Amino acid sequence: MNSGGPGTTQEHHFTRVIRGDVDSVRVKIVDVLEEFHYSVVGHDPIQGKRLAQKNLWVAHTLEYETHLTVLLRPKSAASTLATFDYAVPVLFTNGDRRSLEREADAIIALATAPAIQAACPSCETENAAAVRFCRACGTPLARNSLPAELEVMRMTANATAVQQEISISLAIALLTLVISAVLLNFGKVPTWGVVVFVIGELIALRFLIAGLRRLHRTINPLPSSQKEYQPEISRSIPAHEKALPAPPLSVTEGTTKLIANSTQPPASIIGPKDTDPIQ
Amino acid sequence: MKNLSDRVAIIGMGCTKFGEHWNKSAEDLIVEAAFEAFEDAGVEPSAIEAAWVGTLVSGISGQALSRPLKLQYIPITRVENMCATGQDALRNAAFAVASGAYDLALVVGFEKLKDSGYSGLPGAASTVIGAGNTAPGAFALAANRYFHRYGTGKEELAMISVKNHFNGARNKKAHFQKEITLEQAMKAPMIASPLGLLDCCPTTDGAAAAIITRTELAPKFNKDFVTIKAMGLAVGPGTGRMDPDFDFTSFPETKAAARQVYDQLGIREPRREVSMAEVHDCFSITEMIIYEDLGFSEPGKAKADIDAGTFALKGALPVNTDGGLKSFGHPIGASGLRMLYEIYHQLLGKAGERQVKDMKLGLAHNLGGNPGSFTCSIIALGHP
Repeated sequence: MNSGGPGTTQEHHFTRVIRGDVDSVRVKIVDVLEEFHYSVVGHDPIQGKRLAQKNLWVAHTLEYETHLTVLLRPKSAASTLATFDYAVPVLFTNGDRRSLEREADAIIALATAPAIQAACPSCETENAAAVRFCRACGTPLARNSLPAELEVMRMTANATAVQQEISISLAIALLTLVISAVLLNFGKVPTWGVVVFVIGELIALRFLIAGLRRLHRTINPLPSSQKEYQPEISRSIPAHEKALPAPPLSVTEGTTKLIANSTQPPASIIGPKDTDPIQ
Repeated sequence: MKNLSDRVAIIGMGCTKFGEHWNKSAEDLIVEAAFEAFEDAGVEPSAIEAAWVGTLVSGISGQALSRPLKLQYIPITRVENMCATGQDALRNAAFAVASGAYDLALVVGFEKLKDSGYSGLPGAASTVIGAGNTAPGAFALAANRYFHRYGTGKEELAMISVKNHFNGARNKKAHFQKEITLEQAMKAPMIASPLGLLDCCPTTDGAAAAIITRTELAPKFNKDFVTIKAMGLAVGPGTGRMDPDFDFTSFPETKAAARQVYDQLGIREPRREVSMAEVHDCFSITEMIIYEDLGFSEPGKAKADIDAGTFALKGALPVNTDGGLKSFGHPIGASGLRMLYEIYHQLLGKAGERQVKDMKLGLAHNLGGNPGSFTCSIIALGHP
C-alpha cells in the first residue's frame, strides 16, 4: 500500500512475521537498523532515519532519505507481527516498493541470523555463539556468512534502478527523435531541430551509460559490496583528540588548574578558601 | 510500594561547602553540616531519637556519627548503596519516622576523599566482570553508543557541563565556582574518549544533613518545612555487562525508580509536572541519558532539548540548579542529600539568584555504580 502527493513523501507499508517475542525482536531490529545506516530515534514504535546517500537522480530507492517506522505487536507467544512503514521522497515504480520490502526482509534476516565467528581474529579466544564482540579483548566479531536476503535486496534495488535508467534513456531518445524530426521538417529554423536532437540524445546516452554501468556492478559486485552492512568500529584515535593536551593525573586537580583563569564570579558569592596553607 | 506522600517532613537541612578540605576531618564536616541542620530546624542534638549515616568509604558503622555529634546510645545505622548512599539513608530514616517508631530523626551523608588516596571510582568489584574498568571508561562506552545510535556529538555534552558550571558559579557552597566556556569543554584533555576532563565530575570532600519528623509534628519545630512526596529505589542485578543485548543508551534502574515515584504521585507527564530536578551528572553523558530515562526528553531527543535550553536555569525544566556533581562536587555519601538540600531551599524560596519560579515539585535522582550495574534512588519533595 502506498500514499502521498506532490511535495510530500511517499509511503509504503507492509507486515512481516518474525520469530521471537516483541521485546527481543525490538532489541535485535534496533541493532540491525544501525548496520543499515539508520539513526534510531525512537523505540516504541521503532523509528529510524537514514540520510540520503546520493543525489536523487543517481540513487536507487535504498539510497534516498528514508524514514522507517516498525510497529511490533505480539502474534503468538513466540512470534511477533511487524509492520514496516517506509516514507521516502519518491516511489517511481512497483520495483521501488519491492526494493523496500526486500530491505525489510534483509533486516529481519540479519536480526534473526545466528551470528558469528567463534574465534576472535585478534586474540583467538573462542567465544559463545551469540556474542558480537570478543569477551576477552572486545574486538568486533564478523558474521560467518551474510543472509541471502541481503544479496536479494541489493539485486532488487539495483535492477529496479537499471530498469528505470534505461527506460528513461529510451523515452528521452524517442521523444528527442520525434521533436527534432518535427522541427527539421516543419520548423521555421531547422537548425533548432539539430540542436534539440544532439542535446536530447546526449541526455539519453548519459542515462543509458549510467544504467549499463549499474547493471555491470549489479552482475559483478565488488567483493566488499556486502561489507557495508557490517559494523565498523574504529580503534584509532581521531586526529582532533591527538591534538588535545595530555590528561591530568587527577580529574579534580586537572579541573581546578584548567578553570583557574575562567570567569570569576562576584566575590560576594565565593566561599572562604579552605585549602590547607601547607599544601 | 505504599504511598507515603506528605507523611514525612524535612524541617531542617545543612550542607558544608564542597571542595578539597585538606584542613578538615570527616568529623569536622559532619559537625558543620549537622549543626547547620539543627539550627535550621530549631532542635537540639539531644532531641534526636535515631539517626542514619551514609558513607561509601569514609567510615564504618553508626559510630561514624555517634562520635563527632556525641549522640551516644541511640540507634544509629550506617547505610551504603554506592553513590546512591545519601538518599538511601534518608529513605530508611523516613520509613522509620513514618511508621511512628521515632518522632525526630537525623540523616547525615558524608565523604572525605581527598586525603584518602581515592581518585575516582575504582576498578571492578569482580576480577572477572569488568576487569580494568574505570568510571570514565564505563561511561565512555555509554557515550560512544549514544553518539552512534542517535547521531549526537560532543557539543551537547559540553553544553551540559557549561550549564552546570554556570549554575555552580552562583553557589557559594559549590566545589568549582567558575563558569566554563563551550570551547574549554570541547578542547579539554581527553579522559576516556569521548569524555574530556570537563565532562567528568571531581572527587570531593563534604557532608550534608537533614532532620525529619512526621508532617503533623513539623510546625512545632519549624514553620518552614517541605514534605517527602515520593521515594523510589531500584537496584539492578548488575549483569548488564554480561548481557549481549544490554543497551548502554538507557539505564533500566533509573527508569524503574522513576516509575515507582511517578506511580506514587500519579505523574504522567514528568516534563510538565516536575518543577526542577537535581540529577546524578557524574559524567555529562549520564545527565543526557537521565533526561530521557526520567521522561524529560523522548529517547534520542535530549539533544534538541539541550540545544533549546530546556534544562538551563531559566529553562522550562531547570536541572542541577546548584551546579550538580560536575560543579558542586561529589563527596559520594553526601551527594544525594546535597541534591535534596538544593530542592529544599528552592521550595522554601531561599535559592537566591538560582531560584526557580513557581516551584512546586522537585525531583532528586541519585545513581550509584556503572552502566550495567546501578543502584538508583529518586526522591520527590514538595510543599506540604
